[in-house]
Amino acid sequence: MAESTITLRLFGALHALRRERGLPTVLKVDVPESGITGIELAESLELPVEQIEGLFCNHTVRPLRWMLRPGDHVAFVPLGTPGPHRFFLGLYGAGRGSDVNSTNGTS
Amino acid sequence: MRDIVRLDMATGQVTREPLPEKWARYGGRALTSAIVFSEVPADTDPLGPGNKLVFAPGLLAGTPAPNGGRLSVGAKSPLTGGIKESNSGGQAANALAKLGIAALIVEGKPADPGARWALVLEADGSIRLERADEWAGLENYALADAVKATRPADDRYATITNGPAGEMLMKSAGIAVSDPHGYPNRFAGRGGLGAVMGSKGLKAIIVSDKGLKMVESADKQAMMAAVRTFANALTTHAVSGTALPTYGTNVLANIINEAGGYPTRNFSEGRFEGVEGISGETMREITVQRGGNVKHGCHTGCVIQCSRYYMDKDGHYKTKGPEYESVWSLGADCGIGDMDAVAELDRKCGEVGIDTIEAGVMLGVYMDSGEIAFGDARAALDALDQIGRGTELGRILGDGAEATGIAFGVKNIPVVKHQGLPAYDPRPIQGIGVTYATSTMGADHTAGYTITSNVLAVGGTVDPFGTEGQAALSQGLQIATAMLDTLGFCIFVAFPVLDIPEAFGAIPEMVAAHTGQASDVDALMDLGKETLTYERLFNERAGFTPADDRLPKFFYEEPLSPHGAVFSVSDADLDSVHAFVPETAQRLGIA
Ligand code: SF4
Repeated sequence: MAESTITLRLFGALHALRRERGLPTVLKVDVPESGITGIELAESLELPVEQIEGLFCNHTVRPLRWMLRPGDHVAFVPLGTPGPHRFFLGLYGAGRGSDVNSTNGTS
Repeated sequence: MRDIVRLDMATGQVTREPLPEKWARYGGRALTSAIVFSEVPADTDPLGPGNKLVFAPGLLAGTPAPNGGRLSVGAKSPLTGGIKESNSGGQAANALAKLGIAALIVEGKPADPGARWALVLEADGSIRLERADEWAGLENYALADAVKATRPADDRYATITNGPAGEMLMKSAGIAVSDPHGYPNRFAGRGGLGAVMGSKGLKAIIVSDKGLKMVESADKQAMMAAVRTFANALTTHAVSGTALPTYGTNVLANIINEAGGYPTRNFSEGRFEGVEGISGETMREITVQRGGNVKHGCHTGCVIQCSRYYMDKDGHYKTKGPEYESVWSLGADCGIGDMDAVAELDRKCGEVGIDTIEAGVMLGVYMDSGEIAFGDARAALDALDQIGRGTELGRILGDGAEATGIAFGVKNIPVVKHQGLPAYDPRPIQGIGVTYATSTMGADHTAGYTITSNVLAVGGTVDPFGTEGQAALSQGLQIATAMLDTLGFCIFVAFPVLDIPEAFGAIPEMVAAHTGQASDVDALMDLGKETLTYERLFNERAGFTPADDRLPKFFYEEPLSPHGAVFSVSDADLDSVHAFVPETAQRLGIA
């Protein structure tokens, strides 16, 4: 049977929110076969989108409008990442709609 | 008026002289590097009488400048063989600055290598060198208690102390600096400067600033206005105002791990399956549960306050909340995923007086040799204990990752200029590799805090896997970091400074208001360039060549999971990082 879920991790302040809601470290979330954008996923889980700076999809930083598909490993990163990699990994631009990371067919 | 204080360990004499005019713009790292460049022969034995150990508070230390009380410690490094500036928080910088001291230089060598000495700087300006043989061999926390017993109950003082590893001249030894509560938990850790202090027979420096006022600025009103702007930016920015104080630097663990750049088991993998157990989020939960202090400054005047105390299971203080780099080195790099075990190792490093990064990288290499197993926290603790006791094995391990790797025949030894690499694998994050390779300090994450880099460059973000723009980025950040180290700022001010234009503007405003001399961003960047120029020229004289500005071969040859990336920035790009040095040297008249 085809996979229908993504795995999702939440970091920083989002991690605290996950604990408050009693959710496990790694969430399994059902997504449509056609995919779902990061923003849609965050909204569907009632996460504070304005506090999310970017996401990892399969260990690479992507913008929030990136299309996530079944089988993907995803992590949401809130605003406030210290260290060089906020910039080196592209997190700085990811949540701001910049063209730093190309999208994969979404607009 | 700022002075240089010299302590000659050969004679025990202390002298005081005005800071030369040519160095009037300098403090912190610029001053330690200028002094080492000018006064220490580059070919001198780092543990011999020709080396000098220099303590310099940042230019703005002792003033109300927020987060401006960092201490630079400089010397020729016994670990790298090049120049070293090791930067520490703690109370000492502010205290030295209030005493009007721009730099304390410890030089010469005592006739009796078995003797121990303590230098005491009283708040009334008097300075004396005392015999302290009874403190020989004491670990740092016991030493802090012993010092306390000698001080009046109502005194306010800072300590700079050396643990047993430094007394035994080990190359991974660091120098401990006391925090606002008197714990010796801040470190000038990198580069083996504890061994230099040990070679001088100096066990402790005690600096009292009881009753002393803040250092006066030339234009008090302008200073306070700039301080307000700066403090406001630091406390409202998302990183420095919220994330750092909540989770500390270790909030990075999950993020770098997710990016596949979290060096695991001696840099053999990019992701650690046990990261959840040692993440910043977990560390915060444990600390809160056990009643630990989760937010304070490492020195008076810090408004970001990323420090915390880690408590044991019974709710007693164990160590300062280990930083991201320490948790990584003693955790993931050793395959250890238990926060209490990491805290135990961190405390042991603090007691013995060794750099947590070098210690963890060394343990990772030692585990890779098969002598002890990855993940064996008990064996790791025993190894650190052997360093403290100076056993035959301990003396090898105490000399750091490279010495250990050579002794035990390990193929992959992650060092640059003989110093262990910190907590980011350069293969999936090429930019940090440029800094590791080219830093004057040896592999050093803070040397070019490649953080806010693309902002410094032109906006936009470099591709972490690409090579384009990485050298320019690293250059900009190494210069900016050297500038912040010179002024005495904690590097975390970089986040708001590069995001909020008024915050950046407030720095030259503070410098101008304090010194009475005009300043602007270019003048500040010149400070950074001058600092790096002294360091680069010293290293050249010490025999360093472009071949020393390279990463170990395995980073170029062995792909790292999960991305399968190798380091691929060209040698020509690496060699371009210090292109500004000849011109700056010309301007300084030291070419
Ligand atoms: S932000 Fe952290 S490291 Fe920087 S001065 Fe404050 S406590 Fe020290």
